[in-house]
Amino acid sequence: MRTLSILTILLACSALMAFENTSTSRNANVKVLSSADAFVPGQTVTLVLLFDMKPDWHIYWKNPGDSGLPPKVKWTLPKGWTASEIQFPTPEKLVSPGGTNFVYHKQVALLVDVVVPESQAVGPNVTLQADLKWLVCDADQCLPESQSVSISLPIKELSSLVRVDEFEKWKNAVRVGESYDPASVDAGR
Amino acid sequence: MKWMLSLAAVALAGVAFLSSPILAGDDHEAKAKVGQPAPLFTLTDQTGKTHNLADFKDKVVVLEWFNEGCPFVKKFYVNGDMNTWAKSYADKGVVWIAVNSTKSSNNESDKKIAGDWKIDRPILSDADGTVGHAYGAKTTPHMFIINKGTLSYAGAIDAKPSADASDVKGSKNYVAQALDEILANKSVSEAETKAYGCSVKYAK
Repeated sequence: MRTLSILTILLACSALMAFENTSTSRNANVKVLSSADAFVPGQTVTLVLLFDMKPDWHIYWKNPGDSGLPPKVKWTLPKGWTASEIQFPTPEKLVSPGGTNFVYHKQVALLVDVVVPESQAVGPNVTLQADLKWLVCDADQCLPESQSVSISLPIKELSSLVRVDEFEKWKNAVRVGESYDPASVDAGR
Repeated sequence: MKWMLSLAAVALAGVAFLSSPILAGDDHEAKAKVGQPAPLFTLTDQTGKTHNLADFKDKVVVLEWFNEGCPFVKKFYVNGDMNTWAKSYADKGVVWIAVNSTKSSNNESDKKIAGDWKIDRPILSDADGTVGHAYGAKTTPHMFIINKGTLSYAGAIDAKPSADASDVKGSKNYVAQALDEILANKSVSEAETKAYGCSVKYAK
């Protein structure tokens, strides 16, 4: 009797595993990363949807070509937050007997700009959830896959955190400034 | 003299180059065009029966590009939608035929899936892709309607490119629209749409 119930549990587990869309069963996996380590009220933060594909599998550009489907994302955001459409890098052109497609192999970073509202209070972590759906294909088959990913970051005031775009500008200014030579500037006159 | 000869050789080589056929992106036969006669074919179905398109020259024929492994095809079978549509138009005299241009398919595999998915209409085996290329079938599904020998519709089934069966309801059905117009002796208002789905897994 006991053996039977263990067997039932084992069977139930294997049945569950068969239906679950796990990282090992998927042909593409997504991670969500952030360009800053906090959300700042009134500022835009760029999130990265980093897709890693198994060898020989591909996902599609926003215009997939003769077949295929671009990835889609549904965000769950706090009130007043907005997320941009997905921004895609240059795809690879894939020509097969079935036609022409625009795809990504191996790895691709898709970007989404998230605007944090001015009204957002500073405080502990806020979680943004992305429910992603995509079509992944190899030469022989196509599969729809899905994954939910999330990112949690604290809300901080701008005073304690440098804006990414400004920081890049300042960093570049310092880089240029380090090679400043008054003598060569004078000589150039 | 030697100089003259090599000049002649270069000129000949140039002519040979120019007269060789120019190969475009793919080297398959000219594609079927809406408003033009539909390419004729003879293929066998999952029961071994031969079907010749010329036999249906007085009929309205739907060709449905099929691959049971494709999620966009499954979308229209999990709830029986494709079978329901095929049956309801068959009642109005429309011949609805599936064509399988998947390289790994054959009459036997088509027979099995016809049983599993309760498909009682022909699934024609085109594993070498000849008919698929003649029609320019790009995706599964990819739909074509032939009205008395003339290609009258080419494109998607419906207007919602997704693999979700829950999207079928409420999506504009281009094939039903075209069939209804043809059966009412009207011109087809949207005769060409962009098909969506998996790429056809052609042998070559």
